[in-house]
Amino acid sequence: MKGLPLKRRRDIARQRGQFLTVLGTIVLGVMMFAATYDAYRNLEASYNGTYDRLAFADMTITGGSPSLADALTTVDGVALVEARRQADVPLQVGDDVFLGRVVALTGDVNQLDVVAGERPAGTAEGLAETHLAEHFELKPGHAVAVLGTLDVTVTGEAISPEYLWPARSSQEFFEAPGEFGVLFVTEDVLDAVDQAQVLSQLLVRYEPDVDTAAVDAAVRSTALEQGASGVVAQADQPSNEALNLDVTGFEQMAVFFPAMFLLVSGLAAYTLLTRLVHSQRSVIGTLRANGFSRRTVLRHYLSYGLWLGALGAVLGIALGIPAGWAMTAAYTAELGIPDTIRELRWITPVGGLAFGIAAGVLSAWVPARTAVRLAPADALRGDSPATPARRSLLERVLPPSSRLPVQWRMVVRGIGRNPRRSSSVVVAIALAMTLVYTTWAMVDTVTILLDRHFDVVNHHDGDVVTSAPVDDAAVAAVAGVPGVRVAEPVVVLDASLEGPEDTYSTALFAYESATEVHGFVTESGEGPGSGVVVGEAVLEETGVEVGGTLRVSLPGLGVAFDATVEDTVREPMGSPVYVSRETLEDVLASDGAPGWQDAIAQPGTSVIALLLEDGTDRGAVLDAVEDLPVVASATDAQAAWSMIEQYMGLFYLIVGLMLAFGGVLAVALIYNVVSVNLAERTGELATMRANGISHRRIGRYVLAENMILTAIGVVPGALIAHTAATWLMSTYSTDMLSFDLETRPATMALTIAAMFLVTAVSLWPGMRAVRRLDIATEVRERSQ
Amino acid sequence: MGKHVAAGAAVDAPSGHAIRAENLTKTYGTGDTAVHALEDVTFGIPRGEFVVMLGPSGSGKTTMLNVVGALDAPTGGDLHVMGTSLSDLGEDARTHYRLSSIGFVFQFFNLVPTLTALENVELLAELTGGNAETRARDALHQVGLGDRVDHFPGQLSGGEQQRVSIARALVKDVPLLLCDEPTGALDIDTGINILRVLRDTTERGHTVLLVTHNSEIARMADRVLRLLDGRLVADEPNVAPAAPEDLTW
Repeated sequence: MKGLPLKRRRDIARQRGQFLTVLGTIVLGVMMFAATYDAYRNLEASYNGTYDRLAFADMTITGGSPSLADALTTVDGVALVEARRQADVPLQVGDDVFLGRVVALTGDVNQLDVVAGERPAGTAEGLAETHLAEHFELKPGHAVAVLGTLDVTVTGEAISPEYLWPARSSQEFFEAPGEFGVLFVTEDVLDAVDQAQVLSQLLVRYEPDVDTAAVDAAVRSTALEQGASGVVAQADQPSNEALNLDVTGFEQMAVFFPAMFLLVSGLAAYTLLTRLVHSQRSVIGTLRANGFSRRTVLRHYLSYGLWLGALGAVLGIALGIPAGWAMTAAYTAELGIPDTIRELRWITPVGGLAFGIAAGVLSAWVPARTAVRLAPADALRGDSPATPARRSLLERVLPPSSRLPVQWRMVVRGIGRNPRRSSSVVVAIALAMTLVYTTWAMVDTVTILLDRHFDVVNHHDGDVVTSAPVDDAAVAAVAGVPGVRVAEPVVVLDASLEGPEDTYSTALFAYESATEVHGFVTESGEGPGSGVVVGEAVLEETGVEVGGTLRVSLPGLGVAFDATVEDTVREPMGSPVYVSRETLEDVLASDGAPGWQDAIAQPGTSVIALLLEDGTDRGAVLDAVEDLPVVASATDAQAAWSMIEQYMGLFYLIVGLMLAFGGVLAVALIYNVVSVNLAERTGELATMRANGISHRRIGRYVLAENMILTAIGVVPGALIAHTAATWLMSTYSTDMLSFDLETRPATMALTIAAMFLVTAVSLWPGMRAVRRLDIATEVRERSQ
Repeated sequence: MGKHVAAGAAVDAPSGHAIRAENLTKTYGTGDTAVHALEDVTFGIPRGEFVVMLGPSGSGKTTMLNVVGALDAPTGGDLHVMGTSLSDLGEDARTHYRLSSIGFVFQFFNLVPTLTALENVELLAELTGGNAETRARDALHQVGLGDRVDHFPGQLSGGEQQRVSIARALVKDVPLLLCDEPTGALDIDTGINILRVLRDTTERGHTVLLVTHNSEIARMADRVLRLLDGRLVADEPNVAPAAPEDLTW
């Protein structure tokens, strides 16, 4: 049957602006799904590809009895157990000194991908982790000094699955380049460093295709029974956890944003096709009167939605898959991931087709059913059902409003003229607000939390690593440098926290009771007293409550003690445990650990935090501090902020795209609805023009009607947007990052203002149509 | 084109003429495909007359109404309506002319469905100053709808809706009414009522130009203009116009 397909083509051509708009939203929705879903799966595959290739440890265990390794090999699902040592020590490259890490070379687990040079073959040799090598331009033959111990000759550069993201720990995962680096060294290097700094670890690798959760539980249980102080699963490993934030982000986007786009496109298609059926009542009546079955009519009008959905899906997939691949490549290149896996998965085109076609067909269902239900005799008369007309809700609720000038009563009543269509505009505004506000809120949250981290919590100006134990003389020497206002020693130790339900590995920070170099964002505003203050995630991870007791283990010192949780801190980054220096010293003294004073004063275990005088030249003062004989390095504590800003570029790009998409979404639907509204009223509008009402005045009526709908839409929009933003940010929260929603007061106001702007923009084509009305023709058409 | 006169300027038109056309021409398209909708049409309609323009489909009568109503511009000749030259009017001037000088009544009423009869009339009254509601009520009273002012179009019959559209045209207090097949969508009895209403407006000094293909309606006119293929073939005063009640079709 050629006639109906031809009719469909001509109908679409006559209203191509509106059909193209609907098509565009379907394309965008499917494209976003394909791109983000593929990016999420590709990134996950890329990371896992690297991890599998390099046999990344499924579990990393710190401490434990000498028989632990043997015990672990008997656990079902464990394939390999390899011992290794590592130590955090001051490293020096040229004139730069920083607190780095030396890690013993391993053979089977946590293998290294040597990208330049070769593995060490002699003694006092090592491979530079790639971020370290790139920052300092290390080549084979260069030397890196383990300060005060020995020089390590670099034999090459390597990528490690443990340091794809160069995080020192879960609590310190944003380190400025040159502030942290890793050397993979021969065993003799670990023999030479201060043994108090050395951690003994076991790296566990599982059999393929095991139940990871079950094996994790069994390994954890065995390790804790045998005295392990730290048990970190692969998923919780700092680098992996940081990288998975991106994966999580894409996973969320693969569902949330496409769903919104397809919902809006469905609404737009529904509006358009409902109008089409209405305007073709007499045609439908003629078709039915001449023998076309209901089924044929139903299939015909469903076919509009099917074509829109299918074409939109095909175009969306064609654009989305390459976009997803490009995003994957951009991410892996930016982050230095060695394996970039990009696969064509059947689920992507199938899912995209399903979403697109579903959006199209479902939106056409009601209009098609309406067409089928038309009684041919009624439809042939060509009489439109009378528009239900009554006074507006406003006039009924506020009778004085009936005294408004008639032109404004017409505007207000126009809103109720077609409740479904008006609801479409309200829904469009609410959805667009959600999209715009959630993305804007993400920017606000990240900016506010980073400001809080660097301006309130870690507000000190400099970090000093000494070349000798941190004692009163060292602190005094640093404090005596002109431009230094405050110098305080800070102890940083690896810690394992055991609560009622589980154990959590973190870092312990010991500040002086009256510290000026750190801010505690607690309920009371105070730091720890005689107990500990912990990050909020510690409560969730261990099951402890405020007022409860944690068993704090310090594997580096071989000490464990019970501490009362006095309060929690809401810090954007990390979930550390804080104890006052005085309390720590009391505990260590009462524990009787030999040489604890020297142990905690060791460079690296103790650092000196600085506050500088206002208005001083930061660089000059830090240089002066670094010139002190007792100082190994003095670095700007705010330098990490610059590094973070660098990585934010990609984030802002994505946010910008989301904002633009939100605007496009709203414009598309409002344009469609307004076009349909105007098409229904061309007779009235042309008669008004014929009787002397200018197109500008009519344009004001149209603008006012839609601005009122926008104002109605922003109310649920604000509620939905805020709820969605809160939920979205919470999905990014882990123990490493606390992304509670924080927005500036102006953000919601600006979002609302943006919606009014979007409405005005989307009305422009409709206003132009009013200006270009062929009055002479339209006044002679029967009103529809 | 005749000499250019500033839009809206008073012209020494022959006294008593509501509409004066001289060699009026309207052509659509160019070359071989040009359509001469009006060719050298010359006529004058005195004020206060009820004039019917007759002609078959395609004769140019709708075009004539469009040109007189400034919905379209003539291609050549002169056209003055109530002293206003309609040559070279810009968009704003045409809108102002339609607001202040003429009222349209169409076959399809095109009332705003969400406004009552009173409000539909008041909508235009508000634009022309004065007490809009009072003037709207008076206009509806004139057309015999004084007791239906608060009804919505969906609650009115076809004839009542057409009377509302006539009231809408009258409320502007314009001297000239242009009617395009005003009874075309109505049954004969309702149509006769409408014609009576229109006829009555001339008693109050309005001029009516009614375009139709129904020659029976021409019997009630003071003057009949006949168009054929774009040309004026007859301009006939009617010495004894029939009453609307005497018409039948």
